[in-house]
Amino acid sequence: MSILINADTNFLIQGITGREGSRHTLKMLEAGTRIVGGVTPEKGGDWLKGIPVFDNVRTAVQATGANATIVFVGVASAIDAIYEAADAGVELIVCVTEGIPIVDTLKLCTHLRKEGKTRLIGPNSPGIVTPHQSYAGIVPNLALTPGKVGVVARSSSLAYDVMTLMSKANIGQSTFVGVGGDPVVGTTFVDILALFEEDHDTSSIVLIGESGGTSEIEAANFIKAHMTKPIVAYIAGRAIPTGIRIGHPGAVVTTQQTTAAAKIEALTTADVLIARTPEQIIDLLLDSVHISDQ
Amino acid sequence: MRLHEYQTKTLFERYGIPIVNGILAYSAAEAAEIVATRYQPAIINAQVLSDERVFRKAHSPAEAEQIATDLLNSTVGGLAVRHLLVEPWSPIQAEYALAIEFDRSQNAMILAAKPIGSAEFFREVIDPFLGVQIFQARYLASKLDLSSQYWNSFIDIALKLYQCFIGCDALSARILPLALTMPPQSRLIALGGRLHIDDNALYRQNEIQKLVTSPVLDSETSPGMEARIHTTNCLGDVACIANGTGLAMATADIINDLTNLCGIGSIIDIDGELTYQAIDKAFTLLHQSTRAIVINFFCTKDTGLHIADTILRIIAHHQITIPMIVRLGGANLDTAYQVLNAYSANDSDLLVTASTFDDMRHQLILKLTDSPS
Repeated sequence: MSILINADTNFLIQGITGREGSRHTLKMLEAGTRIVGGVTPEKGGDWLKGIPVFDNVRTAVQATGANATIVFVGVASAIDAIYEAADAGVELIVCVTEGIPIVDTLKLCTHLRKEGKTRLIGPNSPGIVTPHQSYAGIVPNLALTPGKVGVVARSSSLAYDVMTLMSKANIGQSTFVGVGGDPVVGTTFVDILALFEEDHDTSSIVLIGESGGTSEIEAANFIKAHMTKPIVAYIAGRAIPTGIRIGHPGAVVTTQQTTAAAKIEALTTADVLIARTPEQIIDLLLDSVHISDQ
Repeated sequence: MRLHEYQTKTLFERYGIPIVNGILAYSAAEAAEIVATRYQPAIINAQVLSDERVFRKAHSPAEAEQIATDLLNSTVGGLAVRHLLVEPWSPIQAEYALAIEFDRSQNAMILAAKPIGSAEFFREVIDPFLGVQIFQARYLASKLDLSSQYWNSFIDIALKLYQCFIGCDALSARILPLALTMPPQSRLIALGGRLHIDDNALYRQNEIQKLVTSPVLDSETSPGMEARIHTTNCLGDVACIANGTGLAMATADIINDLTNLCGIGSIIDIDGELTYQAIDKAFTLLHQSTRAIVINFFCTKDTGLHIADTILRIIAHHQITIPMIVRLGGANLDTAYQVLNAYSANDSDLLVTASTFDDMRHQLILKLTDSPS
């Protein structure tokens, strides 16, 4: 078991003939991901590495039975691509595209929540990985190993770094989810924590957060009320002064509640184990969670 | 991207929000000239990309010249004042704040208003599909100590502010203050204002790009053009270069934890592939006062050796004379570390490698304590 994706998930790639789309499609195929079709308007009828390309999502779903999609479409068309996938009944949408205007995402997420049928990961998500089963997105073909630790993160390279360290210590992952670095995202820490709590193959969880926004505070409140599995958290950005934006649009510290310190405090009161450095995540998993005994 | 008050007012006017027209002055003489020929008395308002609003009233050209000189030699919120907005003075009886903001914790757009001086905003959540509704604006008007004869004009301004917010792809649109002028012609006008535009939407905001001819990104993070490099300058003396926001912040935290020795200076985040051009650009963004650099790159599959090589070429090119601590993350990095360690042993011990985050901290302490600045 795992969350969100496994070896049976059938993916479409929206933007499959674009530069990024085609490059990452090849990588995902190599990693064993089941890609049943692609969508690029006006390219319907083409093929890419044995994958049929369709003009629109509805036709692609009817022809292939796809139940998930990965969006590599450029900024100006990405929102439309997601509405199209939701309209076609795709249950899981992973949006890799970054740089979508916030108000557009806000509208989209409000719509998807009202409809209640589609789960959106991202925008600006590196993707989802269930090791040895399915790689969705731009997560490089890391030497991830199947295991029992669920990993959820806002940033990508820091999460890759941490997971590489985990692998070196023989700690495997059940599923990794990059929720995305934008201020508004379709799926939050809380949503993923709830899924990990229900997943029989996840015994503990690593949460990698950062300064800016309040999603870690909401996670802390949720953990206090609902989570029973042990959680290790690392929050980057203790050094970041209020009001400064670092990289991710989501990482702007605007009020006291959004500082790394406030998040660490909230998570501590929810009995989450706090790592001061990325490597301490591994120490805590070994020494406090006793992951190797599980 | 933040806009100056004069730019904001230009956009307000386009959406029909009542403003007072002013003229921009770049020198004290220009300010005096405007006061002599146009507005007496006048308000002279420093144009700086800070939330702080600094202005003074001038009754005569001579006074205007003095005030303008003072303001042009001052800083507001740490930023130098380079130009001034000169406007006719309006007698006012009451001041309010009216804003539309994107609230991250609620994941919603909020319409908010309050009398100036009051601590709490009255807030209404805006449905992104419906926009600001008249009843919401009326409810806020009724909460302010604003006579009901002005409610319709308040509602009108609130609706127009929403049009402006959406039309400009703003993250925040503030009228501060929204002033009620003195009788006999009492009316509501936007005396001051601030727009903050969503950088992600600039690709479809050609008008705003045209409006902003001067570099307005003074002290804000400015996305580098080619390699998408985000730079943030903090006040400390040790810089870090990393690929990815989270990794950059994690590295900055290690530096900043050494409070007695150093503080974090420039945080340089390379977003995208670690090409020669990208890393080279990152080095050009370093501050002159930088005492040491911590480089922390996550290397994707089989790129470690190439990245180590690139770092060494760039160091040679820039003739770096300060300590550099290099950590690489990822798998299969043995040869990459060998190359870096060989350079450290044979060429220059200014460069040291660190195998872990803790080691990075340790090596930084060693370098900072044995090379006094």
